[in-house]
Formats: sequence, C-alpha cells, structure tokens
Amino acid sequence: MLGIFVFFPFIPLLIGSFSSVWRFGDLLPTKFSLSAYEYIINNNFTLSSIKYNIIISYSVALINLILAMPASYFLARTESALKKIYIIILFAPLIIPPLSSILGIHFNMIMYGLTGNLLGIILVNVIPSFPYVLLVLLMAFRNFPSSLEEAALIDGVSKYSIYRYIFIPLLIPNIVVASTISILISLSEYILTFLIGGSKIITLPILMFPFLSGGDKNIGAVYSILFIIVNILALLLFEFFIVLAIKRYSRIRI
Amino acid sequence: MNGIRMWLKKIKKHLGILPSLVFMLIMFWAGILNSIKAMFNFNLLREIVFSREFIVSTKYTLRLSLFSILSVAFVSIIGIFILYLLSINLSEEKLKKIRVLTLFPMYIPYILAGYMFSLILSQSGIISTIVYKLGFIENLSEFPALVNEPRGYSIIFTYAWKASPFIILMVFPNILRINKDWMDVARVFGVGKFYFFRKIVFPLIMPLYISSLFIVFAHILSSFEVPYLLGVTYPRTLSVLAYEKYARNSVSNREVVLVMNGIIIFITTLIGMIIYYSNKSLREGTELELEK
Repeated sequence: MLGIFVFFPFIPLLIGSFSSVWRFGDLLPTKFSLSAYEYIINNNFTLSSIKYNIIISYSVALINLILAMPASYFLARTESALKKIYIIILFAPLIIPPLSSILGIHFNMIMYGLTGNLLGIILVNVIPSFPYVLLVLLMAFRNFPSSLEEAALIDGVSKYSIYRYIFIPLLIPNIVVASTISILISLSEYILTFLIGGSKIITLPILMFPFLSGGDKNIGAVYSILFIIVNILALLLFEFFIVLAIKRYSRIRI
Repeated sequence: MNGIRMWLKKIKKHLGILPSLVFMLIMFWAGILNSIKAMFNFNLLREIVFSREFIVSTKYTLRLSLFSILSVAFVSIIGIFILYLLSINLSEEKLKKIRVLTLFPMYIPYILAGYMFSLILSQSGIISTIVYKLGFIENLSEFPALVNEPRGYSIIFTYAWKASPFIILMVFPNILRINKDWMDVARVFGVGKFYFFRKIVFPLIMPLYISSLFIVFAHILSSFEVPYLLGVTYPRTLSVLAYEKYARNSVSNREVVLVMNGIIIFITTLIGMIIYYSNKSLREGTELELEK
C-alpha cells in the first residue's frame, strides 16, 4: 500500500511521454509516438540547460562544503557565548523563505553586477541548501570522537593537516549525504535562479516550467523524466568524483 | 597592545565560522533587514494590511496551509502506523529498504510533484478517466475541477504526498528506539497492537511529530513553486502575490513588495519561535517519561 501511495503519480508521467493521441475516456493512449522525445533532443536549449544545471549545482555543493566544514566544527567543539546567535544566523533559511530575502536585496545585486551571470546564481543558490549541509556535518562532528584530533594536536599537527588527514577522509559518508542534499536542492531551484538569472541563463527547471504549467503535456512529461534522470546521474557522478578527489587529496590508498 | 592581541586571539578562535557568517549576513540577512526596514513606513504598512487584495491573500494562504498541514498530519500518521506494524514483524534489513522507498517523494522536486498531480487530478486526468470508465460520470465536465481552481485541492494533495515522507523521516528513528520488550510485556497483559500504538508509541513520538509538522507548516506557508504552478490568478498566496507584483514592475512596487515580505518573514519567524519553544518543553516532558 505504501508502494502504491509512493509511486502512483509516476504512471501518467511515463505513459504520457510516449502518447500522441490520448483522448478523454481512454485508459491508455490510442496512439503512441516518440515525437516529444524528438522535440527535446532537437531543442538547442536542452543540452545547454543541463550544462548550466550541473555547473551551478556542483559549485554550490563545493561552496557549501567549504563553508560548512569549519563552521560545523566550530559549532560542535568550541565554547562561545555567541553560539546561539550564530545558530540563528546560519539556520534561519530553514524557516524564513530565501525568496523574501532575495527580493529584498535584488536591487543591490543589480548594482554590484550579480544578476544575469553564473556567479550571482551560484551565490543565491547556496542560501537554501546551506543549513541542511551544516546540519548534516554538525551531527557528524557531534558523533565524532575528539580523542583523534587531540592526539594529533599533541603531536603538533597543524589545523589544516587535521582537516586534510583526519576529518575529511573519516567524514566521507557524511560529506556524500550533505552534498547529495545540496545538489538536490540547487538542481530543482526554480524561482531564485529565474529571478537572478533573468533570461540569460536557462536551467532545466526554467526551461520546462512553461510546459508544466499548461503547455504541451507530452513535452512536459518527457522533460520531467529527463529531469529525474539528470538528477540521479548528476548525484552519482558527483559522489563518485568527490570520493575520488578526497582520496587523492588525503592520500588514502585503497 | 595587549588589547589588540586579545582581539586577534578572539578572531582567530572564530575563524572557522566567520566565512559562513559573513556570507549569510550579506546574502541573506541584508535582504531581511531591508524588508523589515521597509515595514517602518507605517502609512504604507497600514495601507497594505487593510487592502482587500492583501486580506484575501492572507486568508487564502492561511487556509491553504492549514488544510495542507492537516492532510500531511493525517497521511504521515497513517504511514507511521503502517511502518510501526511492519517494524514489529520485519527484520532491520527489510525495514531499511522500506524506509528508502517511503522517502522517495523527498527526492522529487516540488514543481515535478505539482505537475504529476495536475496530470492525475485534472478533468482529463487519470482519476476522472477511471471514474468515467466505472460509469459514475458521463462526460468530462461532470468531474469536479481540482487543478487551477480557487480552493487549491491539487496543492493540498501535492503537499500531502511530498511532505509526509519528511515527517516519517524525522519520527522513524524514535519508533526504532522503542524497546521491543515493551511490546512483549504489553502482549502478556493482552494489549492489542493498536492500543499499544495509541498509548505508548504515539506519546513518545508526539514532540517530534508536532515540531516537524510546524516546520512543514512554515515551509508550506511561504512556499512559492507549487501554488504558482497549480494555483489561480485570484486568490493568490502571499509569496506568489509578492513575487508577481515584483515581476510586473520592480521599480514602483518595490516598497510594497518589501513590506509584504516583511510580513511573511514576521509570520514565519513567529512559527519558528513556536517550533523552538514547543520542542523544548515537549521534549523535556518525554525525556522525563522515558526516565521513569
């Protein structure tokens, strides 16, 4: 029953992508065709939008990890009177919608030339996903035994090397989870990217939105399927490369 | 000299968290401050709060979020109950697989979920076709309009499907933590599964259940994509209204939009405080119960 509840919305999506004639009253389409798939393959924007999506989501994930790693270490280990304020500042996007905030500084972003280019979009996309990444890494550091780093500090290892040889390699599973969440959020971000990118940078959600809201149903269905596939592939690819990069960086030989 | 050195030491201690703080303050909090600053223009604030458009939107947003959260609460408690029944009999390996399956909707973005529900629920969608085949209706127009209509049924359905897994994700570890011996003891005394769930399991998961419902509520209240995709032009939810005003004319409507955002931020912050305090008091309550 759970399975039915979870998966039934996908059925019309799959059938719809192949149909050419699907009149009301027929349980299945009377004619099947691949024309919607052809349209998408021939559309020049499809490939470039996937490219933009990947660039944006990967950079966002990397920035998130680089920002959240020392921050979560600080929150987990250091005693400070201001910790509560820091937590409020950093976790606020979980509750307060980022769109409201971005509308507030859109004018300033235009002034500083942060609209219509990738840099602005990447910076904006960090906001909704950062709290989740921070949360995952914070939990990881809380469960991480402090004896390892203490031993390293006694032996005179520098802070940088502690990160490089102890934290990062041991926290690989948590890093993978955190980057998965980050990529999922920034891949499907529609409105922030649309607002900041103007019409210059078109990602997959922006490209398919007109089809989803009352456009051609077949094309919308095909774009949805393409989007899910891109999601899964982008996630797997990133996980593969980040694990590889960490192993290279921390000199683990397996 | 000493003072400077002390300050340097302090800054060095905070070096880890400094970049993320600076980033959040510049990119996120500056916008919020701008919105809150705009709210101090009291004449404009009064004008907006008492305008018909705003009142209708606020009512619509609140009603929609309330119904959505009720449906999410209903669906997720059924899901939790089923998972609890399964957790009695199944091994942990299988349980993990089932958990992954239940969490699947979380990986689908909101716009896709909304689109899939518009395909299912629309007048020419799957459900209306099945009802037609069964002979309940004779043509398309007899099926009630569930998509792009002023009551927002499809929005509620989408949230029920999309947000329930989040609640299950939050609550499920607590179910696994419940001692298996308790169930055996309960069985000895002839307590049924449902009664055990109601009297033991539910009170234990309650705090997390309620606070995660509040998180989802705040999210639905301020969410943009689903109402934008499945809603109608009138009435609109607050965030859609603010965005559309901004998109139509970003120069002349800027102040108005900022004030509206300020109000949205105010409401969500209020909910955030409720989450924080209720979580604290409720959790302390159950910790005591567990100690007994």
